[in-house]
Amino acid sequence: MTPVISASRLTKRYGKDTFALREASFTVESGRIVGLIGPNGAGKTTALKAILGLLPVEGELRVLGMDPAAERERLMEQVSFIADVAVLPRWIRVSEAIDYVEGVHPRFSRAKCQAFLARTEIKPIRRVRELSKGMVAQLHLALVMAIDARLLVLDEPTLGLDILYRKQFYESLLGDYFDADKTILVTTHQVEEIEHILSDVLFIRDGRIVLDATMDAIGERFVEVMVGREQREAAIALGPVNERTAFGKHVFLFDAADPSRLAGLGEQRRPGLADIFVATMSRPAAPAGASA
Amino acid sequence: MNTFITLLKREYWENRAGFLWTPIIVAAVFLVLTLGALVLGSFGDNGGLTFNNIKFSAVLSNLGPEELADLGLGLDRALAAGSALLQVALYFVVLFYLLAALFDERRDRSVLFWKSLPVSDTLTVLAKAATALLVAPLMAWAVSVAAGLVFLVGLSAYVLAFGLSPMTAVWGPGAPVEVFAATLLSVPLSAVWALPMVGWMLLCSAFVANRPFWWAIGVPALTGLMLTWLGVLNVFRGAAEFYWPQLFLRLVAGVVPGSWMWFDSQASIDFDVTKDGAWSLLVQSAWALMANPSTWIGVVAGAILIWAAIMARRRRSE
Repeated sequence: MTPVISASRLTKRYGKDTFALREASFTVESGRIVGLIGPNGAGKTTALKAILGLLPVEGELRVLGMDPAAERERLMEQVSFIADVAVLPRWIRVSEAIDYVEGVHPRFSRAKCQAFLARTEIKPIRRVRELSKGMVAQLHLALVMAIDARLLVLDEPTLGLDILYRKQFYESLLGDYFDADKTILVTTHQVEEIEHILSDVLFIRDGRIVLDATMDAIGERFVEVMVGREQREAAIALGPVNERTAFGKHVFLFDAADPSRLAGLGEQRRPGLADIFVATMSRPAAPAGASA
Repeated sequence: MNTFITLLKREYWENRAGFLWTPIIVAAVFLVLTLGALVLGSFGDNGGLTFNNIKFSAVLSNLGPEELADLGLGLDRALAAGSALLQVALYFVVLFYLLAALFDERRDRSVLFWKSLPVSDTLTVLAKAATALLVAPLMAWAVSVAAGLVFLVGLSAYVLAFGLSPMTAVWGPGAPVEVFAATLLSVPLSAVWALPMVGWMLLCSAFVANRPFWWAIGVPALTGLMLTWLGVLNVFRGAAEFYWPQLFLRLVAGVVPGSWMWFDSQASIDFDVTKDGAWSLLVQSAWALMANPSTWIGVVAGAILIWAAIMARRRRSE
């Protein structure tokens, strides 16, 4: 089966030597939920815009077998996109937004959309500018979930929402939308909130993909060990990728270390994605693809 | 086709205030002023209101066939004047609509929503051009017809109050249907003439980073000032004389309905206003318009500008 997204050596250069993307290569398979995670300015949004055909980039890029820059219109019948809560036009009424999407999108189901909206406080007569930020996000999600698309791209979809709306957003997405035929690509700063729903992660740094792995592989690769002061030197000798201190202990993060050698050092646990992220981003820059 | 109609509806939803309510308010003001003046005028000492030098008091007593014809022409002119008022309002509505059409969506980032749906940039820009060229003028026309009918019905009630038959005094001599048909015909003709302005405004709206109004008016104005200055220095003599009426005015005021009649000296029409009605005026000037090469040069220029606006929208997403 052809991958949903195949990107090879994507490069976007601004000016002489400012790169938004630098030979970034990755593949997204169908039925996955992929987190594209990186610090501000790492190239996340540039990558998403390239995938959506909003920005021409160098390199080889196919989304659902199409060239996004050349076939945006046809591609968007199969791809949905939520940028963030602020992109719905403020003047539009809820009923007009539904009429509009129904009028232009062949795979939109009005009944589904209305069923989603019925669970919210949103009235059809309201204008977007009269809705709270959380309600705008609910409306946008209802419009998008009523579209039978193969790929959903989310760029900071819950930015500025309170915790209740954020939780509800991802619950709806998993419970009412996602299935084996669909693929979700999501960027967010709130790593902790999405790590339990992700199946794959892509870490991006300075326009390069620095980590490309499934969550299962990450669980096997990375180990956190709580080490007492007296064992610190021994732990450093094994080449940890990060060290921090907590509760008077040294917490070392190991990438693909030999489990038998870690055994004696101290208590082991599975690190959070956020810890792996911080460790990866604070490492000295590696050449492209070295850690993938 | 369904998509295109949805796009037109979307433009109407966003601009209901300009396309529908502005003409209705202007028409209402026109009706209140004219019908109000009629009623108030009839209480005056000097025999009340006149149409085309025919006093209504004279109408009451005696009318010959020539005076009836004059009265009819006067009524037609009143209708045309009402519709001209609407067209001035329409000009400003369409001007600001075009400047905002591809600019506001970038400023508020809603372009990311519009572009997340399977609608091409070409179709989007064409829908906006069609809205400016046809939808808004047709809505203004519909309002002008409704207002014209209200005006004539009000006038009928007025002459009836003086014991006169509305058929002989109002509906007989006037030719409202002809006026309405002429203003309807002028919509597609104006659209042909206005293409360069629509293209230019859409291009500015899609391309500039800020202040589309000043770019859209400023660039043509500065170009003209430069040509005028060069003319003063005896370089490019005559360029400015050609530029201001033929290019500048058309670029910034081309969407004024029927404006080809006053911009274009070549379309000078042998027209006797006392003999001919609104319809024949329009048909004559329509032929002159179609026969004028500058019309077709403008169509080509407008198409190129609209194409450039489509390219600009494709490139600039925020």
